Amino acid sequence: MIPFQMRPDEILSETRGFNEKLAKGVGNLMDVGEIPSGVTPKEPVYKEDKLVLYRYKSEKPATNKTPLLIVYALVNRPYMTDLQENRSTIRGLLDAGQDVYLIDWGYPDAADRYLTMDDYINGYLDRCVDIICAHHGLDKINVLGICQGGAFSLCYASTHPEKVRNLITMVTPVDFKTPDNMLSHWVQNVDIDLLVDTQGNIPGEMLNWTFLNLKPYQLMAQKYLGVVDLMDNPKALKNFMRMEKWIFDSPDQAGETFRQFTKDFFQQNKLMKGEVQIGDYTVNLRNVTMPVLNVFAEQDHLVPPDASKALKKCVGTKDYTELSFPGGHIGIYVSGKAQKTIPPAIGDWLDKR
Amino acid sequence: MSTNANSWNESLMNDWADAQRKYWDTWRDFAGNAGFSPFGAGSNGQGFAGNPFNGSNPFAAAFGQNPFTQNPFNMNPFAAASTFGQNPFAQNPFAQNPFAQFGGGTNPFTGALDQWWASMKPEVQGDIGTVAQRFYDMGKNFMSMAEGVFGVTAQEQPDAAMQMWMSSMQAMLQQWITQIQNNMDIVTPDLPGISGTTLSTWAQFADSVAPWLNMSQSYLKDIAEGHLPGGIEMPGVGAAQEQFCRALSVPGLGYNREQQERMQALARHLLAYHEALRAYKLAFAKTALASLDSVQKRMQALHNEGKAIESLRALYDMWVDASEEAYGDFAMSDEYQVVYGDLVNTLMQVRQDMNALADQQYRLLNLPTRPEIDTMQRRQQENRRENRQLRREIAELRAQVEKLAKAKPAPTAKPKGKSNAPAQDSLPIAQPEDDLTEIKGIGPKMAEKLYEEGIKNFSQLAKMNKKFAEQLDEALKAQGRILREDWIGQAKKLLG
Repeated sequence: MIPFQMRPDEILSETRGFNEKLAKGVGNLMDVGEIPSGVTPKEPVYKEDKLVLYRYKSEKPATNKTPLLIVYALVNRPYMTDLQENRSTIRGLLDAGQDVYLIDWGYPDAADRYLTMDDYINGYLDRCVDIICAHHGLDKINVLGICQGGAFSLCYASTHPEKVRNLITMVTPVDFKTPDNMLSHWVQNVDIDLLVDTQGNIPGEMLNWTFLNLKPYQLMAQKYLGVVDLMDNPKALKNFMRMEKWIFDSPDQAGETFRQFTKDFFQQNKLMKGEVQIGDYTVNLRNVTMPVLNVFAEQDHLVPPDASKALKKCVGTKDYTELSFPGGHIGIYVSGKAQKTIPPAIGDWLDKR
Repeated sequence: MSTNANSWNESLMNDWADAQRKYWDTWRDFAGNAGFSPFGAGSNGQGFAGNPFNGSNPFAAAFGQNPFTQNPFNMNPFAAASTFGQNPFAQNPFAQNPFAQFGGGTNPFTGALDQWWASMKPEVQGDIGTVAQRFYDMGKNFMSMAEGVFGVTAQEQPDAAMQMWMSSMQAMLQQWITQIQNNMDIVTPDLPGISGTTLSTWAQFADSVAPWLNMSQSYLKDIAEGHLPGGIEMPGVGAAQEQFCRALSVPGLGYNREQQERMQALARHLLAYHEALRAYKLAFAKTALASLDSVQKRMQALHNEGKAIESLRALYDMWVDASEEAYGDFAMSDEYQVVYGDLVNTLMQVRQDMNALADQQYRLLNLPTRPEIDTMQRRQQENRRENRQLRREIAELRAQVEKLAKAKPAPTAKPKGKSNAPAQDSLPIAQPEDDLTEIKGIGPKMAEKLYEEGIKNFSQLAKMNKKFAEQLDEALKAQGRILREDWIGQAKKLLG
C-alpha cells in the first residue's frame, strides 16, 4: 500500500508554485552581482611563493595585545571565516578585541608538488609566526587552527611550543580512526603512494567531490530544491551564492603534503601515537603545554566530534577547555547562532590568558 | 482514489503542458537576460526558434505513444562523462535524472531541453553559469518526478500504478545485477540510488584521467589480436579471461621487446580495472536495491501510522532520506572500503602505464618527460629548503656574534702616555652595526635583507633620500613600507 494521496490538480498547483518561484529566483540569480571572497578589510603584510599573510583591519584598536594567527586548511579557501558582514568569524574576533592575522595558502600548481608538510609547518607557518612576533616585539602569539589547519597547528605547537602562547583548534581531527569517520574508512585501502606518484598534485575537484559524496543526495540535489523557496529574496540568494562559491572553490593539494597527511594521519593515525615526523621534528602532543581551547561541532559529518575530542587525553597542558557547538562543520562559522556565541567565547577565553 | 480517472481530463492535460512550457520559458528568459543567444538564427545549427514546443502539445503526443513502455536503460552516465573533457567535476552527477522512471516513461521535454541547454551552457561563464547548471539539473529532476507522478495519478488505479512502478524498478535492478555478474552490462541504468552517486562521479573522474577508458574494451581486443594468431574474443569471465591473461604474460621478443612488455602490462592492468569496476558496480546495484527497500519500508510505516505523503516535495524528501540512509550504510561497510580502494588503485595503475607510454614517445621526440621535470622540481624544492635552513643558521650565528661583540668590554681610552701607540690600533674599525629590528616595521628577515643590501646601521638609513629609499624599497620588495613606516625618521630618532 502506497500512502501517496495527491490529485492531479494538486500536483499541478504544486508544480506551478515551484515554477513561479524558480522563475523569479533564476531572474534574481542574474542580479546577484560580484561575490566577494571575504568582506572584512585586510592588508597583506607578508608574501612568499603563493602564500599571503593578511592582517585584518578593525575599527577599534585591539584590546588583546597578543595577536591571533588563523591557520586554515589547505582544502577550500579561508574566506569561509569571513563570508558576509553579519556572518563573519573574523569580524566577531575583531569585535572581541583580537588582533587577527590569517594565512592564505593560495592555489598550488604542478610546480608546488614537492611542498611537504615540513615546508608548510616548519617553513611557511613558522616564518609567518616569526614575522608577527617581530612586528609586535613578542616571543609568542596565539594560534587558531581550523580543520586540517588545526592538525597543522597542533604539529606546530608541539614542536615550537616556545612560540605559541595559546592554541585554539576548531573542528580539528586528532583521532582519525573513530568508527564514524567515513573519509578515513574510504581511504584505508587506497594505495596513496601510487595515487600521488601517478597524479602529482591531488585535484581540488577530486577532494571536493569526495566530500560531497559523504552525503550525495542532500548536498548535490535536495539542497537546491530547498533554496528555491528563498530565491525570491535577493539578499538570501546572494548569501546562498557566497556559500556556493566557497564550496566549489577548491585548490589542488600539493602531492607530497597529501601523501604524508593521508598516510600518516588518516591511514596510520600517527598523531595519536606520537609518531608523526615533520622534517627534523617528531610530533608529540604531550609537548602541547600551552592553554588549549578545542572547539568542535556536534553534527560534523566531515570531522566527527569524537575525532576532535580525542585531543583531551593527548595534550600535555593542564589548561584544556572544550567548547561544543550544536551544528555542522560549516555551520560553526556561518550560522547566526555560531556568530553570536563562538567568536565572543574565543575572545573571552583568550583575554583570560 | 478511483476518482482520479474522472478528475484527469483533457483540460488538465493542457494545463500541465502549459506548466511545462512556463518552466521552459524560465530557462529561455534566463539565457536571454544573461545576454546569450542560444536560438540565434542558425548560429548553433539547431534551428531553434524560441520554445520548440510552442504550438503543439508534446505531452499529449507522448501519451499517445504510451510513454510508459520506454526503455529505462536510455542513459549511460559513462558515455556522457566523456564530454566533460576539461573539467570532469564541473558537472552535477545528478544530471542523470534519478526520477526519470517515475511513471515509467522518459520525459518528452527533457531531451529537447537538454539539447537546448547543452547549446547554451558553454556560453554561461563564471559563478552564475555553474550555479545555474546545478539549479537546472535539480529542476529537471523535480519536474520529471512531478510529471511521472502526474502520469501515475492519471491511471485508473494510481495506487496500483505506483506499486507497479516500484516493482518494475526492482526488476530492472535485478536484471542489471545479473548482467554485471555475467559481464554483460553495457550501460548503467538510470535509477535512483545509482545515477547521481559516487558511481557516476567515479565515471567522470576515471574518464578525466584516462579518456579512452570507454574504448578500452575494443582496445584490449586489438592488443589481444596482435598477440594471438587468429585473434581472440574480448575475454569475459572464467576460462577465456585466464587464457587472455596467460597470453599477456608471454615474454616479449625482438628489439621492441620493451614496448611489447609495456603493452602487455597495460592490457593486464586494464583487465584488472574492469574487474574492479564490475565489483564496484555490483556492490552499488545491491545498495540501490536496499534503498528501494528502504523507500518501501518508509511508505509502509507511514501507511501503518495512518499518514500519507501529501506533496511532491514530501515524496522527494522521503526518497532522498531513504537513499542517503542506504548509501550511508553501504559507504561505511567493509565491502565498500575494498571495492573503492581497488577501483582507485587499478585506475591509477592504468594511468601510470599510460604516462609511461606517453613519456616513451616524448623521449623519442627529444621532449622533456614527466619524470625529468619531477626530478628537477624535487631537487629545486630540496635546494630551497636547504637555502632557508642556511639563511636561518646564518641569522642565528650573526645574532650570536653580535651578542658576543656587545658583551666584550668597550675599548677603554688609551692611557695618555702611550700616544706613540702602533698605528694599527687606531685603524678605523668596520662600519658599525646597529640592531635594525629596533625600527618598527623591520623584523629579523627584513634586517637580514637590508644587511645583504649593505645597510647595516641607523646612520645609513637616516641619510637616505626619497629616491634612494624608493629604489631600496623595490630591491627589498618591501611594498612601500620604507616610506610608509618612515624608517628614515625612525632611524634619525634612534640616532638621537
